[in-house]
Amino acid sequence: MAKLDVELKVNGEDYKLQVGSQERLLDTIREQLKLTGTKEGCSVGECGACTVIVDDQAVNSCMVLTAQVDGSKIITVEGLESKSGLHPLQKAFIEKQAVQCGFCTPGMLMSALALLNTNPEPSKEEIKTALEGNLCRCTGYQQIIDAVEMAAEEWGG
Amino acid sequence: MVEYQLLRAHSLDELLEILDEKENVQILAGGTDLMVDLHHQDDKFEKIDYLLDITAVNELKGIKLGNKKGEIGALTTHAELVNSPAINEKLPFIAAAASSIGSTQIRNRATIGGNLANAAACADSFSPLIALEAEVVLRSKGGARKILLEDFVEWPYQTIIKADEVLEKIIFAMPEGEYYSSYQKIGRRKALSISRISLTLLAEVENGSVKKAQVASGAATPFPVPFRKVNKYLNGKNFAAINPVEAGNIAADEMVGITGERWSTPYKRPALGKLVERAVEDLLEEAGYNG
Amino acid sequence: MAFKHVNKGVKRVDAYEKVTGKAKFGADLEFANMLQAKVLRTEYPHAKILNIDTSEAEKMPGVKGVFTARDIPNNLFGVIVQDQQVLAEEKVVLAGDGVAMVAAESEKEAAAAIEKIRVDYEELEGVFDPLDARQEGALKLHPEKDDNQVIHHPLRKGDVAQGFAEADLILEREYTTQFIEHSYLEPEAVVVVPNEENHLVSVYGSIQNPYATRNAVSSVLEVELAEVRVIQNHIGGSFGGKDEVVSAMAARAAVMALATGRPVKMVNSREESFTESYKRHPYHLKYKLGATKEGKLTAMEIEAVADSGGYACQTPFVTWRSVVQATGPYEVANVKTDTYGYYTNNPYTGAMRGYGSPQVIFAQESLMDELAEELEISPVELRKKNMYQQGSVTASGQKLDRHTVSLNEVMNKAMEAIDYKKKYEQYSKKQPGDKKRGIGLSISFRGCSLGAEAIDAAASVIQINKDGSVAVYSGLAENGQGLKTIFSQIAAEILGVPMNEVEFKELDTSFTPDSGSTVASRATLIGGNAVKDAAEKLKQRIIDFSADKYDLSAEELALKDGFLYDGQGNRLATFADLTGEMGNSGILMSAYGWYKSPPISWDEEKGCGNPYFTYVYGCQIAEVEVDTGTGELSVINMAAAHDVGRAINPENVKGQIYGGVMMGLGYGIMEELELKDGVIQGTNFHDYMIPTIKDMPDIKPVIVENPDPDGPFGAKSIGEPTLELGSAAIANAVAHASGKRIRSLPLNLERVLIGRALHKGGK
Ligand SMILES: Cc1cc2nc3c(=O)[nH]c(=O)nc-3n(C[C@H](O)[C@H](O)[C@H](O)COP(=O)(O)OP(=O)(O)OC[C@H]3O[C@@H](n4cnc5c(N)ncnc54)[C@H](O)[C@@H]3O)c2cc1C
Ligand code: FES
Ligand code: FES
Repeated sequence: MAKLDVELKVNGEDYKLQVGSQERLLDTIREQLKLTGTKEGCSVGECGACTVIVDDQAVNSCMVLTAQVDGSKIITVEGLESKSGLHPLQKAFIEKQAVQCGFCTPGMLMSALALLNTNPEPSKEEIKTALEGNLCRCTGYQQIIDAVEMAAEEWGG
Repeated sequence: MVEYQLLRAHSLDELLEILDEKENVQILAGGTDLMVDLHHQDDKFEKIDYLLDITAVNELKGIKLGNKKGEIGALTTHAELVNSPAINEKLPFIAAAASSIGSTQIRNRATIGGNLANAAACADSFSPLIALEAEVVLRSKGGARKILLEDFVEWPYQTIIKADEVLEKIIFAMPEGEYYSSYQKIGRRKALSISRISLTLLAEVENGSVKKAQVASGAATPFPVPFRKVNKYLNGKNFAAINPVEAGNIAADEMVGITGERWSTPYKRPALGKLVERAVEDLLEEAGYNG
Repeated sequence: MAFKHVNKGVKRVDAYEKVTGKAKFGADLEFANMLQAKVLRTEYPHAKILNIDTSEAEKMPGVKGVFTARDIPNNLFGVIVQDQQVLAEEKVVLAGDGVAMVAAESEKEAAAAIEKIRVDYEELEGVFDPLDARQEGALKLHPEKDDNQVIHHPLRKGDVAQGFAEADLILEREYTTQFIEHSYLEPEAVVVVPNEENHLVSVYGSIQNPYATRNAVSSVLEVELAEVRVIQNHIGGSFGGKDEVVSAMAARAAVMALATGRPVKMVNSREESFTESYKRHPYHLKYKLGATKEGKLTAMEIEAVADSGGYACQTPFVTWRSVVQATGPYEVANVKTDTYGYYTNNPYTGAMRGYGSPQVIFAQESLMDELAEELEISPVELRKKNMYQQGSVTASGQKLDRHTVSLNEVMNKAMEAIDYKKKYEQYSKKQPGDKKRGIGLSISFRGCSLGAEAIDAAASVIQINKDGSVAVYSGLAENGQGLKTIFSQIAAEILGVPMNEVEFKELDTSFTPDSGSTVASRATLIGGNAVKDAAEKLKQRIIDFSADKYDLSAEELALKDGFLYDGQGNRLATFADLTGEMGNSGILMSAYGWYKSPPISWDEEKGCGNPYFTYVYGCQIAEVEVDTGTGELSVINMAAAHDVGRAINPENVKGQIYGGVMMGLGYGIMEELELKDGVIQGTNFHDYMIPTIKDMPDIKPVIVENPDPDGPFGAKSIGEPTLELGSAAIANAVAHASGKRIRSLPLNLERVLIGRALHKGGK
């Protein structure tokens, strides 16, 4: 089957890639770009470990073929830290002990980032809605909510 | 092994052209149903030579609600429905149904057209749209046809869409005068939960009575149908003459009349009855009847 | 005692890697020239293998080898009983048994080749219920055994006949619990590299227990332990789950790596993980309880039957914990308990956080509320009348006097945190409408660490470099619970250095001594003591050297904040300069730490002794709203009070509590692995539901600290107690709200509304 040409901007860098007809955005990110921070937990849209941001929206990268998002701007967990240091969300996740095994963490961070980008002062309920598609088996979620609240305060304020 | 060629359409014309020209084309929208099938290497892929991505076809997007008529483009995502001020104001039960679907990530990709075309018994978009007596517009290169949504599904996962057709949009008449609506969904958990059973009630009221009621349920029947007996019970009835419990019983009987006694009936019968009872109670209360 | 690092919410030492995506998990690892492998698993729960034809598969593109049981040097392994097949040879005993495997250049090619393997089976009748498996004349699953019994643990105390004769009221109740899935977010992954750094095989990946995996791989390959190296770093959750299943995976990959001479990677999809991994044991529980009118318990007779599935796995130990804890934390003069495990053709069952306690606690704490209702006394009063006090004697005859028995304290604190009394009164009144609220509680005692299951000892190594940086190695593994941080805190505390000077290193079985498994909530208690031991040895060396150097007595010297101080609080030297000087003077700046638990005892025949050297106590309370019209159940608030001895890291303890409470909630109200004749119905998270963030109640964690004489800084355990109490508390709250007692888990829509579960296709 013929490969398809796509252009993506991932974490600020431009890529011209060839992708297969069955290649998911998750595969491109992990296997072609070697950005293994994005995780695969279920492959069917249920766990959120593969969440990345596509054109400002949180998306399960296992649910999208890469060719479908040709021309898009994508952010993965590797795009959070900058030269000026950790992103406020990352700092808050560390500060609030929102990380245990860490397998859900990249996806959680992406969902939280998509939220704060559009809604800098979310209510607790809005935080829960933004993270409802991210399963975590370790933390019981409380410290993750605390972290997002803290980041919103630091970042917004 | 699954093999297909992925194609992308960038306009409605291009999309219809491809559907007309090629055989064994399967449309791909948000992918939240199809990608799951792909992961499972579902048998349906044996009959698919081309997967046609339509997410770039702008003509299929958008929500237009006029005074008399409304339409929703097939590619409208559930997130767009949840965030639409017009939908929230005029058709809040559609927003409620959309917000109950999947998760934020799923709603950002999943489309209303895909939800209908996939035609799962538990698909949450059906009951609000059936309550609206909506029609779907199916377009092919040769033209378009309109089908009442309740006639759209033949069997679970099977619709009357033809191989060269795309579901273009959903159209409906806006409810008239004073109307009330509600949407309820029971799932096994509070998010990321497919419906065990869901219910929409839409009722136009006039002078202390129900002018026109539409009750529809998701996941209660193999494919969604309006609950005509409850509608009939409610239609034209004075508020004082309406017994919510009775309405619930009628609906429950009607459901079992359609499905027969199934493994899930011992649960679904009382649960559906209760949802209908509550919807009717709420309607009466909101409409200002406090008898 | 004032602490510098211990007892503080120090940030996790592995958090940076995890929030930046730098942390490499099993599936992220890559080695040059690496192959990918897949396993063919049977769909039959019980069948004879007549023939396996691999010829077509061998011809498939990219294939480097197709393997069956014949290629495995020693095909049987197991931590307790060696009955688990690496690949099924003559017979499959559960749907999901591996029968063949392929190593290929890519995962896709391996998967394609797997489909070309032809296996001829002769289907056999199966046994799918342990109650059937125990019947006389039942079909035997393991022909070499006498019957299907995996284990029987008896416990006898006093005379139950007499106890029941003294009772004014006797209650007999049956309870059942379900199969559940660990649902760690990371599916299992391993990579085995052959002939690396003078090891025959090196195993990397999501391994809970590196030494158990090393034992398994070396025994399967029939090579010495020293030839097998297991390296563990990041693991995406385990909860007891990444033991035998990962050992099997590692053994398979090792066979293929040696045969092909190339690194072999195996990553399970979620479906493969569900199909192949072991589960929590479902139990049938029969309780008979006698009590006086006043509510004093006089006798308990208990039978607990566990489903072991196709293999013994950890059933002997899981059911042993059940036998010790089955009466709950209550003084009962006359007890007769029998716990059993039986083979069936269901998925096999093994270790899962809780380990045989959640099942018996669900039954026994439900029963206490049922008794309270019958006797018309409050659930709290009934418990207080009977529960363990300081110096109480347990069912197995152990006197609880070495540590603080804090049931009263945890109970009172939990009740206070959730305003129990007021709510209990309020919800005991008649409530209008369909939505009813209720509040319920449960309490437990839990033996810490392995107990009499096995030798209970652990090691550590601490190395101080010449620049004063400290490297800590432990034989116990980080599973996400925060062990790296806790051990670093302990080392920093003893050595008086800042946390950033301490580096926790990945676990490498070739370097760190065998410390057993990271299970049974033993890491902080046993492993923490080992780290403390190593640190103290080094500290002693430093102080001795300094006393000599500065001509001061050892008592006058102190290590703090990276400096050496004299008795007047003057800084004498930096830690770095001092330890550098010591290193340069030829002093060994590394130390091994070792800790072996205090003596314990168990008489297997009579079921008595001192099975654990210390216990923890907990109380959880759930407040629920039940929709009696639809069966929907909301857990609104939960309080969880746990005596941890000492919280080395209170924020971490809270994290364990939140996580454990949510896992217990999932067990209580939604999780259930549906089986049909041994075959799992639905092998991903859309069928098997775990709690989302929206299902979360408001959780109030209460940390209670009664330092234990044997724990490091007084610390005991927290991992498991947090999830064993929730389901009983919720079931009690639901009964309080609705007046309906549900004796089977989970409390799903159907059970709450119509009192029974419904299954597709009848029942
Ligand atoms: C984790 C998860 C949770 C979910 N939760 C819910 C839920 O709570 N409620 C619910 O109802 N659904 C749920 N779904 C199902 C799914 O998200 C919805 O059905 C969704 O609306 C499908 O839309 P899509 O655009 O993603 O469809 P796709 O997967 O792209 O397509 C689905 C089907 O429709 C066809 N199709 C799509 N668009 C058109 C068109 N315009 N014309 C003709 N044919 C078309 C496709 O060919 C395909 O057969 C869930 C799915 C996942 C993965
Ligand atoms: S891997 Fe994509 S949602 Fe789980
Ligand atoms: S931290 Fe382990 S799954 Fe979230």
